[in-house]
Amino acid sequence: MDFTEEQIERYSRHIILPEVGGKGQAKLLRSSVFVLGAGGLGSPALLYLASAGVGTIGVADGDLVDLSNLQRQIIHNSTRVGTPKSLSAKKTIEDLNPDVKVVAYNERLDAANIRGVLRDYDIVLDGSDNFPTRFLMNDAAFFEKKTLVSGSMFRFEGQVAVFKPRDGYPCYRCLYPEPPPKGLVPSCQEAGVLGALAGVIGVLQAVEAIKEILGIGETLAGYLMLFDSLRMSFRKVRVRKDPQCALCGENSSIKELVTYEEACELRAAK
Amino acid sequence: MIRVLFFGMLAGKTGCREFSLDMKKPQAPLKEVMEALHARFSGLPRAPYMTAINEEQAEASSVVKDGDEVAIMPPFSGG
Repeated sequence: MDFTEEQIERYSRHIILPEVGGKGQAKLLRSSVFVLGAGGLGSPALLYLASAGVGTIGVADGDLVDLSNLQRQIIHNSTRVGTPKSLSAKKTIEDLNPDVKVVAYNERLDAANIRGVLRDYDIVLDGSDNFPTRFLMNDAAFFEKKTLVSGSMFRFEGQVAVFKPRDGYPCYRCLYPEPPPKGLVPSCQEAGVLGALAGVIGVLQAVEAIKEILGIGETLAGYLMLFDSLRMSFRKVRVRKDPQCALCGENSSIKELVTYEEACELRAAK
Repeated sequence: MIRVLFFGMLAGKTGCREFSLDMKKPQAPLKEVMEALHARFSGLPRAPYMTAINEEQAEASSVVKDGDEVAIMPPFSGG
């Protein structure tokens, strides 16, 4: 792949790294990443993936930008309030890096369409804000044999993991077989979240996606990373494939996508 | 003593992030440790949890020894 002079300058701090180099940068430019949700996690992840020159970025979100989003969803801005998040994200990315082709899905993905969307990408990131979508994304990524970089948050804490069940590593269901009982985990707007925490977790997702594309270092596959911003502590817990996993286990019972009901009354009422 | 760590909403439900549990024996299956925690913390919801012993994922039958660290990690939904 031949770089333009502008590309050599734009990516010079990557190209100078022996672990990336011109070869790695060309890989990034040829790669495609899908991000579910242009929210707290999707915003920083998308910005760094775009800056890195990931050639094709898909972003799906069916919501509109709300003023209360701007405390953490840094891909949007005050002038975009009331406009679709997927299109706002697309605009920001296009202004940031014209090398990136952005595909915006202005809809909430469901069991009928998610596999067809994931099929077009090398790696997929989950930045969704509810359990039904998290399970849908995990199952769809498994069926489509895509590496899933998962991030999630609660108040001041976050979790990050890389799920690659086809390579002997666990999937999300090996850790969490089913959505938690209603009422155990506050969903969506019921719990507050530190805005800058979304930056930490979303950027970690981007780092893991970029490492997966480049094939460098050791990713979080086989680990769950826990971050506590109040105590500034990172912990890595080793996690393993569950041979009894209903999705990726030997005698799996889940053969097609499952639709769970949203347990968040606030969203339903909105 | 066993050092127990509660993550996420469980810290709120139990009122602590860390707790020293005396099992009064050198080792016990994780299932027994969880029962002791439910007895001590009535606010700890009965649900399947992802757990780890010394930063390795564990299951109900895994053995917890005196001096081990047990982490209880609920999933988060926020994004």
